[in-house]
Amino acid sequence: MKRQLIAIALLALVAATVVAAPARADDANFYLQQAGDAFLLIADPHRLIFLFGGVCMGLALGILPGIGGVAGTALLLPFTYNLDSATALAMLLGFAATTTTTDPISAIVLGAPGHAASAATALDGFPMTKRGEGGRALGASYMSAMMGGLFGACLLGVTLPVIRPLILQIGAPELLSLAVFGLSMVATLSGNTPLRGLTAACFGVMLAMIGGDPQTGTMRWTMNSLYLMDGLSLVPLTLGIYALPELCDLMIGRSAVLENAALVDAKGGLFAGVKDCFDNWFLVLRCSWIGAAMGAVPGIGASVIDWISYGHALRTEKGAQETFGKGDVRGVIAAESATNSREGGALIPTIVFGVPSSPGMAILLGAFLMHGLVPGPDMLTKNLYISYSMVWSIAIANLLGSGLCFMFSRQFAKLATLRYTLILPVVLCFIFIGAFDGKRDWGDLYSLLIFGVLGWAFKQFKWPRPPLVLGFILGSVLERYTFISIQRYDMAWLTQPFVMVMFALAAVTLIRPLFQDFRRRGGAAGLMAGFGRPRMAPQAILPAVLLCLFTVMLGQALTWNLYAKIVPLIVGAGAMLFCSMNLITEICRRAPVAGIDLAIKAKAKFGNAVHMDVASNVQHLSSNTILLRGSIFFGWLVGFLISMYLIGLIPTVPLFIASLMWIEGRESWKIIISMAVIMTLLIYGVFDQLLEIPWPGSLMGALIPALKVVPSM
Amino acid sequence: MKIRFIAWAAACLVAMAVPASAQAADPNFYAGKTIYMIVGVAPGAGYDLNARALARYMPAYIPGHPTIVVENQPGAASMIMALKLLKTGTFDGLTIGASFGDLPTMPLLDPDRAHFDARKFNWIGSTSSVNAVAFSWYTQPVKTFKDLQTTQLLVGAQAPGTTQYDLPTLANALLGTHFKVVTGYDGTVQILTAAERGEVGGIGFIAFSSLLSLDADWLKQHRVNLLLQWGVTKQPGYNNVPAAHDLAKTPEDKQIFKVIELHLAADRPFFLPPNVPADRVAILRRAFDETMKDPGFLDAEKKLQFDVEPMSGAEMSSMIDDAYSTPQPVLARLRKILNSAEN
Repeated sequence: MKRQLIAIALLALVAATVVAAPARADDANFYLQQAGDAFLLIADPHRLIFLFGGVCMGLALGILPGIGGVAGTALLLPFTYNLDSATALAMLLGFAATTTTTDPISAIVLGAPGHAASAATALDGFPMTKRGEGGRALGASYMSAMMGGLFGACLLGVTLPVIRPLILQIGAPELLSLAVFGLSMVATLSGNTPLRGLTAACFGVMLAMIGGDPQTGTMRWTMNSLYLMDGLSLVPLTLGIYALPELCDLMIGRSAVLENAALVDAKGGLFAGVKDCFDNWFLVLRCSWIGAAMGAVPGIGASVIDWISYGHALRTEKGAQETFGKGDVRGVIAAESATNSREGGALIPTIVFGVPSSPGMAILLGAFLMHGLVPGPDMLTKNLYISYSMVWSIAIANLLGSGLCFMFSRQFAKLATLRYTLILPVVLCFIFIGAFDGKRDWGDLYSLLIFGVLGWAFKQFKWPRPPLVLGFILGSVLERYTFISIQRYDMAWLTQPFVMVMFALAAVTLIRPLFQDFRRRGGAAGLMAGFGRPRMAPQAILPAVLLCLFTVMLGQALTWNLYAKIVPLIVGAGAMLFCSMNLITEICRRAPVAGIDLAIKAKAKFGNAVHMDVASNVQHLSSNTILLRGSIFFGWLVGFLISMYLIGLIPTVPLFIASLMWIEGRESWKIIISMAVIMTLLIYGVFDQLLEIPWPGSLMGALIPALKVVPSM
Repeated sequence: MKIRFIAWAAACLVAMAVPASAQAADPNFYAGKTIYMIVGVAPGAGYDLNARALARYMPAYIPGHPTIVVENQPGAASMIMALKLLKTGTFDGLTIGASFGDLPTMPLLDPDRAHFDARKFNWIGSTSSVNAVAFSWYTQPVKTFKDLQTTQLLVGAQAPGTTQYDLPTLANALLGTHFKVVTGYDGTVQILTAAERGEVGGIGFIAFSSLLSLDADWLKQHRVNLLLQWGVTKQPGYNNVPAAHDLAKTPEDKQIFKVIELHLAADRPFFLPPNVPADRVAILRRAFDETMKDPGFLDAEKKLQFDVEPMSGAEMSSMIDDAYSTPQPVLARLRKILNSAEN
């Protein structure tokens, strides 16, 4: 009953906006006619073919970890020179709308999300695969992606004529309060480890401060490198934090994700997943709202939206606290519907103001320019039919994309049963290139490796990873808009109604889970009951290391100009506080003493809360084995980099694949050679020839210039 | 097995070494070759689209009609790309750099970070100059340049080091204006919407071409007051808006404006790394100049709403030499003005 009421309220809201603005019937007719014209425009077979081409490329590139829409959109751009604007935009949008559809495949099947946008999907999708429900998870992800995408397109179509004045009202204080609200999700996303989560979030914000400071131009924590001048790039960071740890565990476990091939539900699972989406239609609707609305806000990227939506589902769905993170299909649905509805929302500021809300949209704006289209009021009057053709493009692309995925999906689910020596070399090569595509610099590869080790440590010590990425993405938004708000409005902005509401919501979102956690552990008495004499525990390693790092970072920050250091100092102090508290807990906490009733109860309840991570499948191994095999894994990665430095990236690919397969798995040479050859040709064709990635060169190439005929040397 | 592989590798090496040693002056050098144009900004940005337009039309004017392939190497305001070309080339005339307009002046303004000498590059030309303007939104009390000398105007900017920040700051120091620069915006469009919303009072630097293409109505309907213009020459049709360098009082102030105007005069520059054979530099400079007259190119640029006001490579080089001969105390003063926020 309640859900029906909310659904009706949401729909009424849409209807009201439509009715309120074009009050005259003429207006409504005008918009409908333009929408109709736009549909006829797109339905032209010639345009559909280009749209289809964009969709195919989006799906293909979306599967590869790290290779995002940006590289691909840039690749498509030159093809659009000779197309008319509707066709060109149809192709680009077909591409942009579907990269996120296939993105979850590696997240669900391997647990290694290729992009930050599917990180939340892995949390429930991967356990489902391990249980033999990979097909169902995939089916649910495509279907919810399609429903979300269609919803985003609808919302775009409905609100487009009336949204401009509303968006114009979103100024610095509003953006700031939205970022604060997003950041408050950290508490939910920290699961049962709030101190660790808060530490990670503060660390994420500190990472976001790296680079030239927008207030004074001070170079913060750049270690004098040019690479860090513009700040860390998101792609290598998320690949390192989310994807590498899972792949590392795959190698440590020395097995396939799913050993028993008979368990794969490739056939019936897909449709079970589709049914799940319809059973949870209300969840899809809510999460699509979140995705589309948040997508329209510049600065709140896809990588935040999926977590906000996931957090929302976790707090509102029945029984979610017990089952989420352990393979609940609703987790997949929540994350995927929001991620895909975002594209429609993201188009709104792009069309009406020329403010791109994602890197992909920035390229789309380039296409606008090339076709003489000016974002702004013209797109809502003179060129409205083009705006509507974009709405249709997104809708059709989502239908096509999900349809194609269904056709080819049986094979994807079976990937989980492959030996790790077949999966790892291929995926790792793509991850290296995906990370390198971030800024096309060695710095990308170093940060991939560093954050890979950090992410793995987080995973092994059960530290939640999402707060770190959330802090990283929202940190700089937070700082910049705080300064603008204060400089412009002094403190008056704090009294704006929207800001006050968002801050209040943020406070509730932040404090409630923390308070619940506090109570769950039996309050102050329960917390103190377990304390004893300090003792060195392995869990203390990570907070100890982080504490040292924070100390060094804060020491450097002290020397900066006041405006450059104020936010880093506040956040850094928070990080040190939470981290120290965690460290004390780690070395002083004992198992609850029997007889203290409260503590036992606390522990029993404590077990129920969600741990915000994919469960490790290597727990049966001794910690020494884990450490040794983990080191071997990262040794391979370092080896890749050394080889790349010596002989260039493309020649490294066959070398890396062959040696990894032979040394780790003693695969037959027939498989090794065919794999190495196919991958090398694929990487050469796609990345060297099509995507024109400027390789960094190599030592051999520098010593013997003649060798430069070998690509990337 | 092993021996055979080594022999094979050696044979390959020898085979590849031969063409490399045969690089003599050759008017038909570019026939069948691929030129890589490395753009120092992300794909889709204005500078990238401009470079791609050039890459499309320039091959027709290079003897041998090579292919030009565009690659993007963004980062540190084109500096990563520039340093890469400086260090690893290639030095055979097959790699062209395309950068932001302020690349040549960066070593003068920010010597701590920009460790290179722009005079060493082989500049092949710039496709356009930039005329820019500072405006206030029509509701603001500041309506003219005179008002600006007595009343404060809040203007938006991305960060120190961008023209939106540097030029108003310079005007405050040299022309007695009262810009208050609020930094932290994501881009120009965000600042324009902030002005429309009333969050800032205007902007201290925006290219006329951007204003005309993005918000032509604002000019027509007098939604903005034009206060001060930037550029080597005045924007045609806007003679009544005072130009910054005309207002400079002392010869030293004029020298400072001259350094800044290098960037404005050659806003979209292209260059080859150092040590490229002179005949190839000459071929590309000639081809560049001719492309600037190509109807197809002009048409493509017009569609993109980019102005084509070319400057040849030779002219650029001499302007850069001039800027680099500015007396050190003048440069030190300029740096002090621009870095006032950092200290």
